[in-house]
Amino acid sequence: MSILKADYITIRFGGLTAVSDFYLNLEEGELVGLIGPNGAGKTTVFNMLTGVYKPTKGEIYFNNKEITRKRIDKITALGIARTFQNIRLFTNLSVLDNVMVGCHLRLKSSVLNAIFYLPQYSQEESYMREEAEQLLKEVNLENLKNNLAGGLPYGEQRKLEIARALATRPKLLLLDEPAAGMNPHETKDLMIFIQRIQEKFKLTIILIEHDMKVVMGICKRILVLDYGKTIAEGNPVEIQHNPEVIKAYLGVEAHYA
Amino acid sequence: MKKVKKKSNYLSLKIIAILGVITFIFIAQRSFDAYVIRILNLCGIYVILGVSLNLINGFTGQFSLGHAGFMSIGAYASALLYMSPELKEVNYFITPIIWPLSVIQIPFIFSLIIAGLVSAGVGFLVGAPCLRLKGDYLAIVTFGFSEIIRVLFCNLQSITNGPLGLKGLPSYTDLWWTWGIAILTIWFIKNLINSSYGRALKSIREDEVAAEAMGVNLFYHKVLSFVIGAFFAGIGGALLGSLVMTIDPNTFSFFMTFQIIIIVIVGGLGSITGTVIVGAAFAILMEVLRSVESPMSFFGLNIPGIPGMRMLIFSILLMIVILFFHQGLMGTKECSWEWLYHKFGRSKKEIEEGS
Repeated sequence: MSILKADYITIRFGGLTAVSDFYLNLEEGELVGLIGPNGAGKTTVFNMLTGVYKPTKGEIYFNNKEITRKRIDKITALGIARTFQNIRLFTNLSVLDNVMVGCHLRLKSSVLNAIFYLPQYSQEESYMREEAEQLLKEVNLENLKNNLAGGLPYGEQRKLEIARALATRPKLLLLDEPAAGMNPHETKDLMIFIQRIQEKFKLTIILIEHDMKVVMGICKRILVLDYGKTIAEGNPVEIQHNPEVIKAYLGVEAHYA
Repeated sequence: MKKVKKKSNYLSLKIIAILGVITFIFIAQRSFDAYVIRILNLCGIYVILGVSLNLINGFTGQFSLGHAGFMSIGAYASALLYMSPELKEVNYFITPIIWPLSVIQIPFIFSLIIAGLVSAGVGFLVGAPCLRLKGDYLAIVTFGFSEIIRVLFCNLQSITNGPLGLKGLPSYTDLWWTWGIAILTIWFIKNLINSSYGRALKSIREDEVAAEAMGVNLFYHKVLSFVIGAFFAGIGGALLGSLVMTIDPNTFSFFMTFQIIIIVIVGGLGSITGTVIVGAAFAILMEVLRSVESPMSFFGLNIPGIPGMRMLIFSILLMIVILFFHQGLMGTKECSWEWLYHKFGRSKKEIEEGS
């Protein structure tokens, strides 16, 4: 079943076409990689899928419902969560609070209910806390739950950001360069971690990554963007031998030189 | 089992604290002289105003300079409701007051609540369009709002009596009101920021983009914080009006907002404890420092009294705090019952061990 369909979306900023006619039909449970040279428009695609930018042309469907012009937080509530290329944690909040913010969108109690700490709210609060602690256990951060998020080491911050995204109970998770700045050992752990959470939470994942070992290692299908255009699509082996891709990454063909 | 015991201990601590405050107010109200009581009242009012502004500026991270406007609305709304028709007739001798207001008189407590609600309503009308703006731009717009209210109240003669102001207001404000409402405000806002809604507000302060991506409805939460802040600012303004017994539009100038901004920044953006301490200290210092405005002589050098010297000292204090305590006195730290309990418990233990 198709979970996400980007129907030839295009976005222009003034005269610049950042992404043109991007098409993606994502089946449930897939793990798709999105690669391309710097400035190819990968993060812009994420921003359109999550509602940060509205496409100039084309529609986006999530679970067969159009979400093209919906508000960012509404899209998150429908089940699309993301992480950011440059980590964006709530640095002055505790690790646990960071994850609990992700649970906030399911809160049913009203503000007054929360202020007077009525039974309905106190129950919801304890459920949220339980769920957040469970997620922290999942990413091995439960011992650090009372620390400030800004004080965590880089790799842990990446994991916390994923835990926070999972707290919104997404069906589709968008990971923007999760391995950036990690050493080979951490990267290996991350690959196993991504596959584990995909299975455990029944996620569909789109992954932007520059580290080819990660992309080739865990993605079944890869899309290559260059200058906003999709220049190739296929499984890792096909992508590695695609002349267009080699050209995009290594520059002009050899015989010009 | 242990946890239950701890909780009941906090409860007893709370009861002791509340009883202590009640006894103190009771004694103070009876035996302190009017000047001291007035300063204590101002302490309470500054705490109400500081904590409510801290909710907007410190916890939600939306820099608002509109507090004086909300106070003004609250002060006028309540005064117009609790003044007796006779008093209104005396006050409005140039332009008579319009009809329904000329005959209405309701008890003080209801006028306070309505003052808060009117102020909150205006807070919504102002906040809904303005909270799209960020940082400096929001500060400018809210500052503009505060000025608009001032100019509007100067010119709506048949409602506010214009620049003549309202004089001879009945003095309802006493320590029960100011301290009672101050405690209520602290309790309300503390519970709000410790709830899930509070976490959402703090997440907006930390990173708006990430908060929205995590499903926090930015508009709803920003307006929520703005409206609650305006509600308490309105009540604070109403209490201040009845305390000083005379209000005119210029009472609530930018100067007033600036004072509360000082309290919030010096106390620490994001710390209720800091705001309470500095709010009370501010009210006391404002009086103590009156001495620097009177003529002085240093070693035979005669200095004439310069009005406004107090604010110079506050400005210097503000600069010192910004330079050396970037986050204010308390930063985002809070003094909680738990902390008090441990402090209390530990010192008791130490005494036991010592003896």
